[in-house]
Amino acid sequence: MSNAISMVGLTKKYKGVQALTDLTLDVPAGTVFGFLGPNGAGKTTTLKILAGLARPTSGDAKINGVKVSAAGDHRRELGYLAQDPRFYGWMTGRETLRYVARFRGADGDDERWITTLLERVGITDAADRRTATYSGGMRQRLGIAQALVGRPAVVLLDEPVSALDPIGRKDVLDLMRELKGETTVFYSTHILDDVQRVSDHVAILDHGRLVRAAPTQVLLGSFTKDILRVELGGATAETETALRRLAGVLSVTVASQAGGVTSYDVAAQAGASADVQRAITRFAVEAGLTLISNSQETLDLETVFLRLIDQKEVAA
Amino acid sequence: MTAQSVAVGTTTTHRRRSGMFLGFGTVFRKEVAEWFKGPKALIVAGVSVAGHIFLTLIPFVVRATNQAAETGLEQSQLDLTLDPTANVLLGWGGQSVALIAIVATMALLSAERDRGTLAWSLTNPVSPTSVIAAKFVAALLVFSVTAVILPVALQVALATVVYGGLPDLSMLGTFAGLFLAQPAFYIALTIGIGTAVKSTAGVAGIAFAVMLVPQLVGGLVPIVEELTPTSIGAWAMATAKGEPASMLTLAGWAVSMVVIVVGSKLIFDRQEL
Repeated sequence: MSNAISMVGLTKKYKGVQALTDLTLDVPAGTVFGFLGPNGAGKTTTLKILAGLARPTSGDAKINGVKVSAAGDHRRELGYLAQDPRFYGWMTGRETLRYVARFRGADGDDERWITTLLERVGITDAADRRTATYSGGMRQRLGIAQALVGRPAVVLLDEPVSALDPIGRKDVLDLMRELKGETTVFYSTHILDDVQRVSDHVAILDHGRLVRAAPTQVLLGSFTKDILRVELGGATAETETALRRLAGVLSVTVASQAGGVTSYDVAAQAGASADVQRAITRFAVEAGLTLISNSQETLDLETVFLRLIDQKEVAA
Repeated sequence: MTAQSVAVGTTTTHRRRSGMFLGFGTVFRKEVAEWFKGPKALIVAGVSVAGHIFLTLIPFVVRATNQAAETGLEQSQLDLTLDPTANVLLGWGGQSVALIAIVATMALLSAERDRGTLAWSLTNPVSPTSVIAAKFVAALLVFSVTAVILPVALQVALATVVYGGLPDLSMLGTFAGLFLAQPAFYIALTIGIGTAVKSTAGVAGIAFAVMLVPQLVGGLVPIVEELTPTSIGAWAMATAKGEPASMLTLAGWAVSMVVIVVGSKLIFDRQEL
């Protein structure tokens, strides 16, 4: 798979503040790529560098193979939505899209495409109203439409759902999901649930440094692939010791105990999860225990994110 | 939103102007539209036309109201003439056009920066140079028409009627053409300052200082007045009239323009938004 965005050693200092440190990241073409991090992590700085609004102190970036520069040629390859999008108040929504289309060599099809985009983002009724009368949510929707109007290879969205109500948020997330395969969506957010629902790739940034980048399922799996959640009814104090003695088991910890049911987190040796699962099933039968569950632990992105950021725990 | 799906179908086939003037035409059209969508062009035209017509009519009004006779002064002692060409040129010798140019253009960059639209525009395929060049060309074009060409044309028509003869169109044409160098300087100046200074008040303060200080210093040191680009209006007047005019003024104007253009480009290219 080719890369829609390539960043190599991006570093940015603002008057003594290190906003970004040696960020090297590839964004595969056609993916919806979530860019995560706490406030001040450097997400917006990265997006501004890619849009050409800020210059890196060192390092390089390419958008669809075109080098990012102040000259602006690479902007033909991208559409950009700022965190708080602003437009000319005297233009209508439709005129705003025409203005952007002209930058990108508007042709006869553009008027139809503009109408389609206005419908898609849900502001058809306000399309011929001056944008000065738009609410924050409407500006956000217009911002998404203008990012798409040039049919760019890459769409950069800085917190695209932050100003939207729950319905608007769902609409935009649905739209982003639809864009998968059509274009590359690289977006920043701190709403982890959205990332898990929409993104097929994710990168986590903290204090300007890349903590982890991986396909979303791989990232989640890397924390859980060798950890089993086992629930046993009728277990005793000796059960934990017996589980620890099973072949392939590295460690056993009691996660919870309630109503005669004990939950264990069983860490298996790398690649031995399936064997350990079978051994646990046999053990439960032989020991006369009620096996309630014996499966790989599933973590949500929020848990993984917090482990990576708060505890500086980096998965192997 | 509807359930309609979006097929973005990315395209990179559009290959238009590239490099330094990427996106110039689009920004230029937007700038011209912006001048006329708001009241700015109308205000500039109204103030300029009213001011210059008033000055053209002064000798006519004085004669019509017999003020000269009432004060016991001869017409010549009031330094008033009934020559239509002279009365068209009356009022173009001061810095009123410079003042209007500064006020009309001091917010061209700072207002956009404050609104966030400058950053948004620069996320499109447009070079920073195109943004400031388009602002300059559009402002100069609109300002030339509304603050120079339109008032001069109306003055000529009026002077022909009230002073009973057609003014010297060749002289006035030469003057109007050369005089455009004055608004060109002040518009370039406000845009140039705007690339480095973020507040509108800051831009205006520096531009007014550039307008006034050389005149004050020039009163004490004449060579300063000769060299300063702010004397380009007086130089245009003298040249059109066939009076002696120092080429040092033209050289000073040209050097200043080059410094402003190159400086603005270098600063704006490095700007982060």
